[in-house]
Amino acid sequence: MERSDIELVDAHMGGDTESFEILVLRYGKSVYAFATHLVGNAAEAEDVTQETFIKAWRHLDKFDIEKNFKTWLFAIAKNSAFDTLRKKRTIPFSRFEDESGNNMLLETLTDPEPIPDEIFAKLEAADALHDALPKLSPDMRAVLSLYYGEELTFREIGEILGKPLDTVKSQHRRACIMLAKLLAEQS
Amino acid sequence: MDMTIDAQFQALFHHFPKASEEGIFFERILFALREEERRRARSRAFGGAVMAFAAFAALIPASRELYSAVFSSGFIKYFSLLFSDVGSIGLYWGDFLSALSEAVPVFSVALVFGLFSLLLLGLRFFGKNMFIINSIKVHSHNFSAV
Repeated sequence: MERSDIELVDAHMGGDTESFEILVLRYGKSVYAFATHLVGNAAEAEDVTQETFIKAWRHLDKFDIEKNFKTWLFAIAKNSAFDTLRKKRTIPFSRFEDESGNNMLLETLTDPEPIPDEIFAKLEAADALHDALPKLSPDMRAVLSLYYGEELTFREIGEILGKPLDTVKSQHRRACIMLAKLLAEQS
Repeated sequence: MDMTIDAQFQALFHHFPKASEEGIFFERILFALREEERRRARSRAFGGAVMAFAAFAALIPASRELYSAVFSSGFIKYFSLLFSDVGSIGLYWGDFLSALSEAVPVFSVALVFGLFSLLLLGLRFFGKNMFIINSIKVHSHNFSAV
């Protein structure tokens, strides 16, 4: 039977070193995908993933067992990725965005329509996301990656990003509109 | 049009960015973790060794101090009465016990016990972390098993 995250964390705290390695194997791919969506570069995403697990290992004694391990881990990953972006000084903002990421133009737009199937197939094949994501702000990338990639709830995303539920929801909406717009431009 | 925009985004995000070589990617993370563990154990073992050494170094003069304090306080004289004058002690056991306890060089005894405990603690810490350093193994995982 597969052991739960909390059981593995407990076992690690009790001196079983291999249980943390199981967590690495369980979440390694997801953290890597999330890191790639944020930093947009395979080598840096691997570094971010490695850093995430080392930080988690170091601070596992501070992890609140009542909370969700995945959420905690992704919060570390998000911070590591943002640190990497900060070092590169490549945190882009749209010309319409203010400092808190509110986009006056996007607020007035309606929700995006689905992309026609034949165009979507081309976009999927061309890995269009790879080109479109870097044009979004890191917060937007994080929300989209966690929502669509990890299929987390808005509440969980809010916990990871340290933002209120409503902020996450509106950020998700803005990110969707912007991404749809960028994909439409690519197609 | 079959897919909603949500489903389309989901499909795009599930179009997974692949790690360079999955096995190597995980091995690299696990190797970094083991290195980190080894580094932590090494610094803790060093801390334990320093603590044990410092406690041992301080224990020598503290033991000498205790030795002389035991003689100068008259503790030994009172204590030897136990073997030479049992009858009087049986009669005045209350006075004897209070005199004996007053003669105990409390500070020196506490110091020696404290330093001895620190020595044991340091040795334990050192031993435990040396064991961790030696037991961190280099093994390969079955990456598809989890």
